[in-house]
Amino acid sequence: MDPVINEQIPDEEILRQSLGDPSQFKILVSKYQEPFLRKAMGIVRKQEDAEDIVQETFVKIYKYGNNFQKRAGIAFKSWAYKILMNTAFTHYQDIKKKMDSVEYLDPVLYDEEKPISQSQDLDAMSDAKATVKSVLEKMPEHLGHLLGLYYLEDKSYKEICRVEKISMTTLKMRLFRAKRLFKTLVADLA
Amino acid sequence: MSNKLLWKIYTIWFLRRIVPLMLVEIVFAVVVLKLLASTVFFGKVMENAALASNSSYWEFFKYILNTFFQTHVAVQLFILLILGVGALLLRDLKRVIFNYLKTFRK
Repeated sequence: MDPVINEQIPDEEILRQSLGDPSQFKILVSKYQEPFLRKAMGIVRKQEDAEDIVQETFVKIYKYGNNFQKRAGIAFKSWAYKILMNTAFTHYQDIKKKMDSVEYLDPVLYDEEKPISQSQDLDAMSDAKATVKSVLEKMPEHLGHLLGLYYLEDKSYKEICRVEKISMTTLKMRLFRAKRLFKTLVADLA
Repeated sequence: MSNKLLWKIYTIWFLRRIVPLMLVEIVFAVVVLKLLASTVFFGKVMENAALASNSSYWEFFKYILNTFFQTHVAVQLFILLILGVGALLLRDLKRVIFNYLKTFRK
């Protein structure tokens, strides 16, 4: 029987309680397992890898639950998703290292309906890599550069803002415009 | 995946919350017991209690209680400390078992 998800109790409180009583953590697992899996699948595209990522994420959430309690004003959900994304990217980088020349693309940058299948050969992968590079070169420098920093070099919003000396809002707006332009250019190439 | 994950969570909780606590309690109990053993010969006390009780639990209990009140205050304090630490150990053991059952019960 699944634990009852009580909407009245905030996730932060459940996490706090679960640090003393691990059975409470079941509530968070059953609540977030599916959305986490979907999100992880969007990055690694393989069920087993996604499950590993989700499992590692929950373990980290529990392990560092004490640290979370000390930060005021941060919602559990956004903190948990941040951990999930970091874990997924670390995992993705490990996969990338193993496969050496294989480069997965961010779901935003390519058609999610037709993800690159595992069976495609490495030539297709390096073609995709070359395409991304050529599209980035065609873009206005400030936009292409930002896309590269965020998606290829894995820099956080904060880091990019600091390096580029721009505000968070400007960065988000530029990234949005860059992604839209990237899609258009890719469509033109096709 | 859920069971494997819960097992990991339970292990983290056990290693972080229970193991250090029980270790401290056990070390403390051993030290107090050692100190106590150097002043009180428990084997002899039990032997005498068994002889005096004449197979009656009530008499046995009364003898132990009398012996306790007749000993030195420091010894009484040590015995109380041992009982206290024992109670804490039992409480932790109960938490380990109950949380295990609660975590893995379907």
